[in-house]
Amino acid sequence: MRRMAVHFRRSVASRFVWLMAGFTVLFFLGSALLVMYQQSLTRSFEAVQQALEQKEIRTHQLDRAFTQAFFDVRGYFAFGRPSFKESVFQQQETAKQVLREMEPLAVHPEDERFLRDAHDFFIRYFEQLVPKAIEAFERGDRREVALIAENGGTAAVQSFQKRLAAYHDTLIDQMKQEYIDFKRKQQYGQAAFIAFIALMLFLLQRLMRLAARQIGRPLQQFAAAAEQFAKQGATVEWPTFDEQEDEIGKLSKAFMMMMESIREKEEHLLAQNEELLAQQEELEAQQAELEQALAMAERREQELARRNDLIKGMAQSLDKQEVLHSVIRNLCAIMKAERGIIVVADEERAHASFGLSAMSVHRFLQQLYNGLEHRLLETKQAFTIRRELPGFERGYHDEPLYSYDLFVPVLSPSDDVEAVIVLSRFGAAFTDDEAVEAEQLGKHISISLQKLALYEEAEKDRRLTEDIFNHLPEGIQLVDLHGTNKLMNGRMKEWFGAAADGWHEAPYAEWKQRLCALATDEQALSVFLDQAVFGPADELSVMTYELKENRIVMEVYAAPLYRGGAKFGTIFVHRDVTKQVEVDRMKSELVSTVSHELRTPLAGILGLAELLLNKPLAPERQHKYLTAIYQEAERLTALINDFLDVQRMEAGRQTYHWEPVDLVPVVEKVVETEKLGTDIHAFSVSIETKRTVIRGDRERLRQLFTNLVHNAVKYSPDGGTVAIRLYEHSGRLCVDVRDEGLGIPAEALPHIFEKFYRVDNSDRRRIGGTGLGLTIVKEIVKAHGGEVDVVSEEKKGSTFTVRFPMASITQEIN
Amino acid sequence: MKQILLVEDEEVLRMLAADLLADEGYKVDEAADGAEALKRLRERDYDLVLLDYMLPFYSGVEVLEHFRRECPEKRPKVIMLSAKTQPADRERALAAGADLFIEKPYRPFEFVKKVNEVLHETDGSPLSP
Ligand SMILES: [Mg+2]
Repeated sequence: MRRMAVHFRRSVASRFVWLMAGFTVLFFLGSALLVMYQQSLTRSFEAVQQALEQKEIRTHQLDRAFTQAFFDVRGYFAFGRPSFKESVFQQQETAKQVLREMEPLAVHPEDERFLRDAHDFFIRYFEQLVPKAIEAFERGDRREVALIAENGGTAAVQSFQKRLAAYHDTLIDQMKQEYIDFKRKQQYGQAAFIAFIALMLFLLQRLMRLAARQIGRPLQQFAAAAEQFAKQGATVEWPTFDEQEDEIGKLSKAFMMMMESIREKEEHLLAQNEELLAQQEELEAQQAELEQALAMAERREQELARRNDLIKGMAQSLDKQEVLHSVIRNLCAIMKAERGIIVVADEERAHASFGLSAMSVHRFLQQLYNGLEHRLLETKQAFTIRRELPGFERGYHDEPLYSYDLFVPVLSPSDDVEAVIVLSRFGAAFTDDEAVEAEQLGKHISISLQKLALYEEAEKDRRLTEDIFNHLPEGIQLVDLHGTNKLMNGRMKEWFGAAADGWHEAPYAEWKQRLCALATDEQALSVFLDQAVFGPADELSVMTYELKENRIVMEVYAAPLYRGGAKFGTIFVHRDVTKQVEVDRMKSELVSTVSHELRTPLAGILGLAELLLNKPLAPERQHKYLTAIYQEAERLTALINDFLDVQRMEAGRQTYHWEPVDLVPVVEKVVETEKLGTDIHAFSVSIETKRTVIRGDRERLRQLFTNLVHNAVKYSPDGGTVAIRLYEHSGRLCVDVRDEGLGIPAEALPHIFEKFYRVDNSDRRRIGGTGLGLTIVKEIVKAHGGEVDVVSEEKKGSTFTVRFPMASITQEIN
Repeated sequence: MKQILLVEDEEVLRMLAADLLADEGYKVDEAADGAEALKRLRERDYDLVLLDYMLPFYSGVEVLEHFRRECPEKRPKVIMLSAKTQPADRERALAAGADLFIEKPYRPFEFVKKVNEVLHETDGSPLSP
C-alpha cells in the first residue's frame, strides 16, 4: 500500500491511470447493480403475476366444474340418464382436485377465506345436497328433490356463484394492482440509472479538472516561463514544482538544469564572443590595410592594363593611321580625357583624333603651328591650359564651362619633338602627376612612331626592290641545289600564265615539267635545265626556246649562285627575244636580199665582160653583150642610188630643202618625161583645186611622183590611161595616180611599201625594178607630214593616193 | 647531144648562160620561172637542169623538190645557181638533191667547166682530170 502511494506520488501518469480505472470499475459496478435490480423487479412481478394467473385459472376451473355439475344434476333429474350422474361425480372429482391445487396458492387471508368457503360449499353441495337429492330422485320422490332445492340448495349454489365471481374480480384487481406497482418500481429504477450516469459524469468532470490542475497548469507555466526564458534569457522566475517527485517535478528539474546549462554556455559563449570581437577588430584593421593595398594594386593594374592596351595597339599594326588612332583612343582612356588628337610633326602631318569632328580637327591643324606648339618645341614639357568652352561646345549648359587642354610633346630619344598630343577634359584639371605620366607615355609612343618610320622606310625599299624585281623585262627565277623553286618575279608569272601558278617551293620535277610543256622543243629545254641545275657549276649557259602558244621566242640563261665560294642555287633569266630575233632575221634577210640584188646585175656584167674579153665574138654578138652590160650597169646604179636614198631617208639623214612648192608644175613635168618613154599610154592630169601649194622639197617631190607615175606605166604593160588628179579633201591636198594595169593581189597590198618587196607574178617579174621605189615614196611622203595608200584590184589597175597637209593661205597661188 | 634545161628569171643571166652552153654544143631549153620549168621537165628528159635559186612564185629548191616527187624516175643532173650565199641555202639545195651549187656571179669558163664535169660524170668519163 505504501509502495502504491509512493508510486502515485512519483507518477502523474499512473495516478491518472488508476483514477480512470477506479472510475471505470465504479461505473460498471453501478450499472450492473441497477440492471440486476431491474431484472429482479421484473422477475418478482412475473412470479406474482403467474400466481395470480394460476389462481384465476383454478377459480375458473372451479366455476366450470361447479356449473357443469349443476347442469348435470339438473340433466340427470330431467332425463334420468346415468351419464349425467357420472358426470356429476366426475365434476365432483375435478372440483376436489382444483381445490386441492388451490391450497398452496392461498397466500392471502382472502384466498384462505375463499378456499374455506369453496371447501364448505363443496362439502355441502356434493356430500350433502347432491347425494340426498339423487337418493330422493332415485326413490322417485320428486317432491323431496324439489324441497331440497327449495330449501336452500339453489340458493347455496347461487350464493357460491356470487362468491366465486367476487373472488375472481378480486384476483383481476390484484393483477392490475401488481402491474401498476411494477411499472412504478420500473420508473424508479430508470430514474436511479439517470441519476447514476449524472453522478458518473460529475465524477469524470472532477477527474478532468484534477488532471488539468495537475498537468495543464504546470505545463502552461512552463511554457510561459520557457517563452520568457527564450525572450529574456537567464533572469526568468521558474515555477517551483521541484518538490514534486512526479514527471512535472522531473520536468521542472530538467528545465532548471537545462536553463542552468544554457546560462553557463551562454556565459561561455559571451566570453568567446568578446574574444572573437577583439579578434575581429584586429582583422578588420588588417583588412582595411589590405584593402588599401589592393586598391592601390588595382589602380596600378588598371593603369598597366591601359598602358598595355596602348602598347599593344601600337604594336599590333604597322599601318601609321591605325597606330595613331589606337594611340589617341587608348591615351584618352588612360588620361580620362574626352577628346584628343595626335599630330605627327613632319611634312605629312599625319594625325588621328578621338571625340572630335572633322571640322574641329581641320581647325585645330590650321592653328597648330600658330602658337601653342612653340612652347612645346621650346620647353619640351607637357603643359595645361584652361579655356572657356565656346557656345557650340557647351551644349545645353548655360553657365560657362571650362576645358582643360593638356599639351604633350612626343620626344624622340634625341629629344626632338616627333609628335604633338593634345588631350581635352571638361571640368577637372590635369594634375602634375598626370602630365608626367602623359610625358612618359609619350616616350613609348615615340618608340612606336620611330618603329613605324623605320618600317615605312624598309617597306618603301622593299616595295621598290619588289617593283624593280617584278617589272624587269626579264623573267627571273631562283632555285636551290635540288632545283626547288624559291623565288620568281612577276614577269615570269605574266609570261607563263596559269602554268606558273603555285610554283612557290615547287619541286624541280614539277615546275620543269610545266615549263617544258610550254616550249616547242620540250626535250631541249629539259636537257638545258637539268644541265643548269645539276651540271658543273662554273659556266653560264644560254639557250633559246619558243613558246607553243604564241610563238614567242625566249632566251634563257642560267647562272650558278655562290655564297662563300659554294654553289647554293641557280638563277634563271628568261628574256623575250622575239623582237630581237625578228630584227636579226630581217637584218640578215636584208643583207641577203641586197647582196642578191647587187650580185645579179654584177653577175651579168662580169660574165658578159669576161666573155667579150676572152672570146672572139661576132660583132652583133659583141654589141648585144655590150648593150646588156650597159643596161645592167644602169640598173645597178639605179639600185645603188635608190638603196642609198632609202638608207638615208630611213636613218633620217636625208636633207630636205623646204620651200612652198606648187604641185601642178611638178606633176606636169613628170608626166612630160614619162610620156617620152611610152607610146601605148595616155596621160591625163586634172586639177580640181586652186590651192595646190604645199611646203616641200621640190626635188624629192619630183622623185616621188616620178616613182608613182613610172610604176603606173611599168605595171600596165598593155597600155591604158594613167590619170593624175589633184583635189582637196578634209583640209588636205590629195594626189591620185591611177592606172589600168595589172593591179596588186590583195595579200600583197600590206607589203608593197616594204623594201625589196616585189609581187611574185610572172607578168610583173619581167618588169624590172629595184623593189625600193614605193619605199622611197613612203619615206618622202612621211617627211612631208603626209600619207600614202593604195586601192587596187587585180587586172583592173591600182590607184595610189598621196595626201599632204595644206600650206598656209598666203602661199596660195592664183 | 646533151639536153640542158636552163631555169633563170634574170634575162641577161639567162642569155649569158644559154650562149655559153650553146657554144659548148649543148642543146639548151630556157625557162623563166618554176611553172615553166616543171612544164618542160615533164615534156622532156634532160641530162642537166640549171636551176636558179631565186625564182618568182616558187624558189628553185621548191621546184626541185616538187619535180623529184612528181617524176622520181627522171634523174637529170641538177646544178643550183644562186646569188644567195647563206650556208643554209646551199645545204637546203643539196638536201633537195642538187648535184652542185654554183654561186653567182660566176666566171663563164669555170661555169662551163663545171657543167661539163657534171655532165660527164654520168658517163663515167670525166672530160678532164
Ligand atoms: Mg633569179
